[in-house]
Amino acid sequence: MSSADSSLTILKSELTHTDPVHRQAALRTIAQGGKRQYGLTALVIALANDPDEETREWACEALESAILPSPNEVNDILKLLRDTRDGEIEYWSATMLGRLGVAASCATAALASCLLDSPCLAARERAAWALSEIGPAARSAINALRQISHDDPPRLQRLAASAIQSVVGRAA
Amino acid sequence: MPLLRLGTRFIARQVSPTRFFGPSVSIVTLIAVFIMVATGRLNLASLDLDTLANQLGSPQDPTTLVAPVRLDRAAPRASDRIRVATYNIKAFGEKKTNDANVMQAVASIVANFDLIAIQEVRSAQSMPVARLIELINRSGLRYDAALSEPIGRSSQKEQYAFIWDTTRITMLPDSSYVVRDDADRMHREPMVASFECRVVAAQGRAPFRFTIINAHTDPDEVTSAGTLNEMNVLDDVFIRVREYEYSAKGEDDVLMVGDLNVSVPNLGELGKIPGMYSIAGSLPTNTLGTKTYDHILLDRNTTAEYTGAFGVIDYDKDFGLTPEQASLISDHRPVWGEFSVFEIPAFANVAQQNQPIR
Repeated sequence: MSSADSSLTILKSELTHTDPVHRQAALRTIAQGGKRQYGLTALVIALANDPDEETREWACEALESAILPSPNEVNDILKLLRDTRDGEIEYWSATMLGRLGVAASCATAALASCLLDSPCLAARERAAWALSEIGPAARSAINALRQISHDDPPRLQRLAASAIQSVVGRAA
Repeated sequence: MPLLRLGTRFIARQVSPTRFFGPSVSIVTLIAVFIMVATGRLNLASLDLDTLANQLGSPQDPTTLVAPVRLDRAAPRASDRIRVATYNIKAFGEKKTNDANVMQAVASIVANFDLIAIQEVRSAQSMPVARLIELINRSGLRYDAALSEPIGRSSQKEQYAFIWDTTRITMLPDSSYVVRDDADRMHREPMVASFECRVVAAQGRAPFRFTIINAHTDPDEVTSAGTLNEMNVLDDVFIRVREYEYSAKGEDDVLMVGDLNVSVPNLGELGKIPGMYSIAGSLPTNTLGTKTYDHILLDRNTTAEYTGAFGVIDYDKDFGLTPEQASLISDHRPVWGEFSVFEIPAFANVAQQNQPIR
């Protein structure tokens, strides 16, 4: 086992530890280590609604600046997005899928559902952004994007319009 | 709270700075300020991007012109110059303040600067900054701070802070506010405040007075094209703040500082403002020394007070910290620049000199 694999195994173990102090320490290592971390995306997203507040904070910190999802994590992230009604989990799942771009095209339907149905505005906005990042491969979400109307918040309207342009424009 | 009308379309409500007179007073003050600042913002909703998009210039990479200066911590502070810095203290929350070693290191870093803009304060009670000020002032220094309210779209919000040496700099009364953003164009709207150097005016030389915009962009919102990219919003912020400061106070020296999550080539429309200059350019600002995220930006056509001396703190070389110790503090390095304490007329610019100043 390489040192990178070993480090990943240790981090995974710490992130799933029952003691929040261990989870916090692992997340702090990821967030402040200055390196892009791969292979931990779904685990860290799940900690964004951890019962422990400090763990949640560090999870969000790591997700914002240090977690870079890899294409082989798409299904795990997609499962999180499908299975949750928690706005924070939806928000970060959509964000990570957006970072993957076209590699997350299989998540188009789930993102469209999040865009229309999530009670969390920030999650809906990130879903629109993610569809834009996926581009023409998210063509099946066009009807959902067009359902964003003038009654919706201005930023969501702008993001949906941008996504439509990305999905249709680039395809044309 | 006075309502200020900026031109005909922009409104900002000013926020009194939060000062630390002692822990108990600080807490009460902070709570009061948070209530007071609920709507104190400059309105971004109606900014005219098309007009601004025409003001294209060419951002320059100053690392090709000048070299960074190593911070000489032992040298006495120059009486005719101030150091201004920006520093993302990663997740600066109560947990971090409980780590005495980390707090001592942060205090040691902050105390090198006359004014420092902080990003990522994470505490509804603002206790981390209060404790930091208390720690710095224990050594006989007299620092003070102003904080924004918690800002952010998601459940995880953060505050901006300005910390300054009150013996060298003063914050102008009622000059701090958070940019108002009714159209929600930024994840974390910048905080603005104005400062003036504390010097005796000498033979017509007025003290350097400037406005500083403290910003922290969302890394996922600095990559797209058009108005959804926060770098294409921050140019509007810079221009509107400068317009307001100039019309209200005759002030044209504006600094845009903070963790922008982009390198110089990706400054977008902000980097295309004529004369815009990132003083540390493409020098890495993360602890690994691989990425440029943090900037001090100024318009060289107006802010001639910049001396050309700048640096990026190296935790190892400047503070003797190991990478492991440094990683407990932040994944960012502070960026700093040096300015004259006196106003210098625009276009008498010394920032273009091509030799490092020591």
